[in-house]
Amino acid sequence: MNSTSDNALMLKVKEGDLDKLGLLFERYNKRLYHFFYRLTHRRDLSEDLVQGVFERILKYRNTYTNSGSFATWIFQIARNLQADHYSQNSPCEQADRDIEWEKLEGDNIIFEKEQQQEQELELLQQAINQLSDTKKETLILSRFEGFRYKEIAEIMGCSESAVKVRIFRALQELEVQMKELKRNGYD
Amino acid sequence: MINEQYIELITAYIDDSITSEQRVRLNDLIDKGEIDIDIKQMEATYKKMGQLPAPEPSDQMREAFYDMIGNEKEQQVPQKSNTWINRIEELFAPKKVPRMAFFTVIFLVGMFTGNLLTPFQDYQQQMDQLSGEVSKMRQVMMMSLLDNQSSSERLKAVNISTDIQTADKRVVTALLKTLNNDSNVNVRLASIQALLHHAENPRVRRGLIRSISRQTSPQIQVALADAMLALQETQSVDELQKLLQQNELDSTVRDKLKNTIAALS
Repeated sequence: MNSTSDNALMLKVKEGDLDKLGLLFERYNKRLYHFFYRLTHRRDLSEDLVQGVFERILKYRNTYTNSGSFATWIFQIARNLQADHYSQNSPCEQADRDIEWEKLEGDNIIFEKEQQQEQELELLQQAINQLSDTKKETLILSRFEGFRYKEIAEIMGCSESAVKVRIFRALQELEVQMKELKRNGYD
Repeated sequence: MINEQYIELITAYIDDSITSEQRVRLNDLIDKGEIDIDIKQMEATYKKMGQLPAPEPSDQMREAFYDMIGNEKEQQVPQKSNTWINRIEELFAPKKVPRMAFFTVIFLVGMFTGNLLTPFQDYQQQMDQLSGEVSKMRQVMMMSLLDNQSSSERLKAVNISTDIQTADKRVVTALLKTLNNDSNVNVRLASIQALLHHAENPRVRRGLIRSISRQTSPQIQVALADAMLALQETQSVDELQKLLQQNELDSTVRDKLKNTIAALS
């Protein structure tokens, strides 16, 4: 095993060499932060949750078994932590961003290409926010974190085919939601 | 309701993992009208998600993490000794033996084993003392050789530093000073390798990152880019980009930096 691989570093942490956790933090903090941010849309909460992931790693470092990919292991922790947070707190604290149609329409002139793109992205974000947590997580892990379907199945504790069905259904729902949002926005 | 077997094909198409065999089958099903979903639109939505922005975490998050590690390290030592003492206490807990007899036996056993192990302890102490002195000697030798006029002597000094188990602040500072100021490229290259031996030290990693934009030699620039890649040091991207903006940069180095930035971003 390469001595600088994630798994080798985590084994060192398990043996008590806590400085190695610093290297793992540098490798994963942004990925985890973006994962949480895309789920919650709250910067402060996302930073707290990243800290929480590394707290759990420190606390349970002795249970690390090096039996699979470190990336899937750390995202399993991240996912559980996020679920724990929302079981203890009201989901209504989630940020809810409404589309600012007036802002996007500007001076009511024909949309320029840039504005149109911005509007499309806002719509897409709004549609993603309306997906169920499970579908949203599956899409985020696949599209933004670059995990393969098999790895997502490992992180989420389900079958690979279930992951594929969730991705498929989520994309179908996004199409419907976006059409709906467009229609409501222009009516 | 779409057949679940088709979902397998569509999701493989969307994340670009589709095989040529699957592609033929998918096209066939679309031609036959068995799949009447606009998969191009689905793929476009999936790809468009990649353009959604996300902010960067603040510096406070990093500070909070390193504070947490610092606290944990402080707690580590007493915890270990407590456990050790507890285990011994558990082992010798005088549950049935009368208290006085128990302590007398412990006293006698202590005296006996104390006498038995004294030579061994002396030996162990001597060994510890000796290795500590060797380590100090290495440090002194390294520091004095680093000031030498001859570059081969300075190279020796840098190599000596790799034998030092845990580099203290003085050693790290000396190596970073060599990396940034030594006139000889080989000595500077060796100092990068030496510093990588102590990469778990945050001071070393920060020093390596800060050194990037100070270097003018293509060899050193490439070696530092390789080091950043080996450490997966995402913090170095800004410094690498700063270096990339220099007009007189060697074209090989330019390519190397671009690849490194792409791999770290």
